[in-house]
Amino acid sequence: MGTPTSPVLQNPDPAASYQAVYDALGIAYWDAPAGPNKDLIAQSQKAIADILTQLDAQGLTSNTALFLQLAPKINAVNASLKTIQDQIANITKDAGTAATVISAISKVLSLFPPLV
Amino acid sequence: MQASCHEIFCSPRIFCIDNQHGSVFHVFMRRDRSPISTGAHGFEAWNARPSRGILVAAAALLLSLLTTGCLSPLAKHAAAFSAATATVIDGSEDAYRAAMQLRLQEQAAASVYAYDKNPQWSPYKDPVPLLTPDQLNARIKVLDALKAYADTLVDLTSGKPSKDLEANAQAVGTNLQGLNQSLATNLSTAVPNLPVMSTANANAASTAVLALAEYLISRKVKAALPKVAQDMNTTVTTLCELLNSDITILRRQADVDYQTLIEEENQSIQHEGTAVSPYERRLEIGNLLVLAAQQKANDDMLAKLQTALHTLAMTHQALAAAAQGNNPESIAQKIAELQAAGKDLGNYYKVLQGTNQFTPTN
Repeated sequence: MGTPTSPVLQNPDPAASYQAVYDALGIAYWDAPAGPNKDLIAQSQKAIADILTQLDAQGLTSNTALFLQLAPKINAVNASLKTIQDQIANITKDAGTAATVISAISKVLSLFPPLV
Repeated sequence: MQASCHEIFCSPRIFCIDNQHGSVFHVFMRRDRSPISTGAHGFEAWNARPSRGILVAAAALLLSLLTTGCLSPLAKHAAAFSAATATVIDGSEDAYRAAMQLRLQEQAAASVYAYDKNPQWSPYKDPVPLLTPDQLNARIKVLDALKAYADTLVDLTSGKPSKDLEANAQAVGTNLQGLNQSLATNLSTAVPNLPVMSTANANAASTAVLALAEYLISRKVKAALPKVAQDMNTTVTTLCELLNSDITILRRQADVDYQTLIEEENQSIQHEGTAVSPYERRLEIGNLLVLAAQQKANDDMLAKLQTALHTLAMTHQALAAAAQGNNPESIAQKIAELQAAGKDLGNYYKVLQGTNQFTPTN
């Protein structure tokens, strides 16, 4: 049995490692009786909470860049869907054109003098 | 439909529908009657032979069946995908807002303790939000774009004609009927007993035009959708993975924020001694229970959201395959899983909303 490896070295994700320590301290906090030890645990936890918050903020910032990269791709697909919708609108318009043509025929035919 | 007026009036195929059926209604084959009466004759014959109306209606029905038959399974999947996507996306957006609200709440509570301990404390020092407005907007925009994509898929595959299309098709029938009626009125002296086109036949003409347009639309959608869905698939998968990564961070931060809030409040209760009344003390202790319940419900909800996001990516993949006619069983199963995930998520929102209050009993 060698020396136990630090949780930070075992887990490549530092935030996950700090969270493990934070949660362990949380259990200790509620187990400890009211007094200086409880206060000390609370202070330690607060310090780790600050580090975790910083790491989380960094993680969210990195993800923001990736979200921004995705936006144009989704917008491009939505643009191609819009093109299809426009083409469909043209088919709809063609049905309208048919109605207009028939209406025009109707008017012209009504002007025709009957042939004898 | 696309024929020019010149073709319509000058071509001997003016009433080619009659020609093709071998009837002798052609303008140049019936010189014993005027072109106008021959023109009207097309409708007269239509009216006189109910089988023509039935044929048109049957053709329209067949076209309608072809149209809906082509798209309806995909339409159902697209509608279910869109509904579940909306739930998951609304859930994601709410998760961001809830996490930011929680962070502010924690910072407000932390300020109470900092007030006594930190001489530099000032209300003018802005609390640091979890996400800046720009960072939140970047996410909301992408999520809304994905929702718009899912909604458009429903529009395209629904097979329901637009109101414009319905109105235009109806106009065809109305105009046909109007033409026949005006001819019958104008020529009543020249051609006595000229029959008027029936409403049923006018409706059949409308239906035929509508069905033809729907068929064309369906063909357009069927041709375009597989490529669009395929193009989008990688993006949806990446987006879901990215959201999952965000939710992992939000879960961790919520765990920290809730624990800090609860412990800070507990420290306050333990150190305030007899400065508060027993009733206020009970309220404070009750609030610890409320916060602990919220913490658990929030974490459960975020876990469900992660499951739903994973299912969403899988379902879109199945939808893209189904658009190409592959593996229809898989899409049905994935849609069911996604709907279940969406429902589960909705239930957790209700649980979360129910954990906001504590009323001490006297």
